[in-house]
Amino acid sequence: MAIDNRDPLPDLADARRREGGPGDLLRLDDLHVSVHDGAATAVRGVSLRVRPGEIVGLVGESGSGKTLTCRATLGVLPPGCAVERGTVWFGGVDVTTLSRRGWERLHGSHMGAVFQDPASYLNPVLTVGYQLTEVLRVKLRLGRRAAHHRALELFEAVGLRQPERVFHQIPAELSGGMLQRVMIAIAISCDPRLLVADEPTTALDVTIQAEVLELLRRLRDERGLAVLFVSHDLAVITQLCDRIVVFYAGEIVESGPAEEIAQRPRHPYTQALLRVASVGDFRRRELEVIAGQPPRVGEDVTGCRFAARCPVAVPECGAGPVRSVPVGDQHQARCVHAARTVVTS
Amino acid sequence: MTAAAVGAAGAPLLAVESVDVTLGRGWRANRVLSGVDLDIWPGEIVGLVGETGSGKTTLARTVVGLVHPGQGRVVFEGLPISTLRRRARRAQRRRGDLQLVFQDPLRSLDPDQTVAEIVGEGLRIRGETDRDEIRRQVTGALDKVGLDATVLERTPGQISGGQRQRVSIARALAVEPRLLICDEPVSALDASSRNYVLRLLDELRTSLGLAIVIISHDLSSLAGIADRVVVLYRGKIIEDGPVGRVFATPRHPYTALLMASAPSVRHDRPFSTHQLRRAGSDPVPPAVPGACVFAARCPFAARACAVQPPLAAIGDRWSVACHRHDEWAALAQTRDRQKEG
Repeated sequence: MAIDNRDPLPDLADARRREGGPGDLLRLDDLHVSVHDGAATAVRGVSLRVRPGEIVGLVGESGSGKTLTCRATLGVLPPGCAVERGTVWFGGVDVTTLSRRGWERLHGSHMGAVFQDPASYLNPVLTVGYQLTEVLRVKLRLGRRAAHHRALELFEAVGLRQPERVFHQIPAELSGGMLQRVMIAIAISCDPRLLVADEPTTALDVTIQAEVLELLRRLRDERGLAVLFVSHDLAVITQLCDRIVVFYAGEIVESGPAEEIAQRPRHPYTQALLRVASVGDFRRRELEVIAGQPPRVGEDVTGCRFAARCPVAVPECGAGPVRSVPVGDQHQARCVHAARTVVTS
Repeated sequence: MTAAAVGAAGAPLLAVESVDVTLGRGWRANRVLSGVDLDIWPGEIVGLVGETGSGKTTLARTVVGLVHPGQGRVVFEGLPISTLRRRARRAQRRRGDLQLVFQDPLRSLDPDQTVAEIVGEGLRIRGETDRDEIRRQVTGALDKVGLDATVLERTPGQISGGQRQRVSIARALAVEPRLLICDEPVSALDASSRNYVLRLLDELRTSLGLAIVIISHDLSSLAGIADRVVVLYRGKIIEDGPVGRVFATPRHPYTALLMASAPSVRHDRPFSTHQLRRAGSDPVPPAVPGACVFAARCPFAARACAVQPPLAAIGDRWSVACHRHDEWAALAQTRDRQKEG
């Protein structure tokens, strides 16, 4: 199949020049994603930005909308889901209106993606080397030789010890950690500007997880790759990311620099998440839980969606929509207490 | 209640005695466990950790009799259950003293059965025929795990992940076991439900006097509830000791690597992962058959490591299988925290 390789983002460089200095690589504005063929809205007004070379972490419970946000960014929403409202700007272009062809040109060459279960994204009967060179030959129009050469370089870059040997192996012959590295190699093969990583380390052992996180950091440092990283584990997120975005029931409740969020969380939900996270101090401690359940997808809640589980809720929380307010340098929280300065932790 | 207080009282509840397990035959044969010795005392919570393929699940399956040990035996309350045959074995199983909570409840629970049927199945197998009695015990078991009667008629697909995991535990509890083995009970859950399930297991230990083995690859969640931690690597136990002391000063380099790799909100670690990982400049470890299982990944491997060290006691109820257990920590301190040495 012939794929059109024309650059869909001709004005990328121009856009950056216009804004002066490093602009946003990815910007979501008031994104709404509907599920069940429009019956309910699972992502409600998400706005976030990713600058070039930045690692941004999305964290939240299962069902909080972080994966849907990622998939909307990649243009690969599951059947029945659609972008209802809002825009996704990537390199200065609104990608929500892109055609199938337009997406094909964007995928791989400008955006790479890695998911939780690497084995299910690779063809089990083809060697991983073939699967990587295929991308290089189609997307970059490399010749057989050049593609092979480049593939070995990429395998080396993602820390696979014996690239020649791995090249000729099929997925079943590789361990989970190696497969995830192969997936990362494929994702970065055409030098994308953004890597979307949805729970890439959840299925891996802790020692391997630590290695993959280091790899992502190194790729950012060496290639200026921006990463949108999704995880339900706040400990993983704080360790890897520059900025953290906390999701709750389809909304962003807090966002800010990683250090700031870990040290001075301002939203009660973030504070609760930090208390239940594996703090890694290996001491005997009281295991805390966040009482109650999040509102169901599509459930209409007046005011703060966390109020029902919040230890510091006041009548004001249910009165009307709660706005995100700045609480520090690039730090925002959606809480009525954040506007004042009294937040009990 | 500490393990020591109970341990002094008598015999262990479960004794795994130098068990070898080989899965597959011929060229496929793969030795999954070799020479595993493990005692579980009544009322204690033991955390069993190790990476994928280290044999954690196989050990659990061997204990409950789903896998036959090639060598060694499993003794439960003085009865060598791994050597029982036919009628005696069936009778022992039906009593349900030993229960395994399987990994991934979505796949291990029958999707067509209701929660009431799943939880009551063990009781029916044990020979209980009175429906009201079964219903009473089922609701009792669900009550223990904090679920109410509204889930009774639902199928596993209709409840949340955390509830499913609790149904799995209720199924095991319904037959009133003495020993509960949970295979990765929390790895699929998010932080809040994970803590809920772990806290529940801790409460069950106190209220029912159960001994519980929790298999996990996440060390820090075990720190909250386990009394003892047992570390498996490639089918061998490499460290076994009281949780507080092992986590304060791990004596096997692999245990230390596991701890250093665990993600953390804070940044205060005795060692960084770089200090515990092999780097290109390290001396080549001995690669001979029978070498220490960890030697190939160990930056501190020396000539002595060409022979697998036995699991040797280094303190009160604390044992480790490492030739250099009192030397490596000092060596690790001299390595660069940031870069591979």
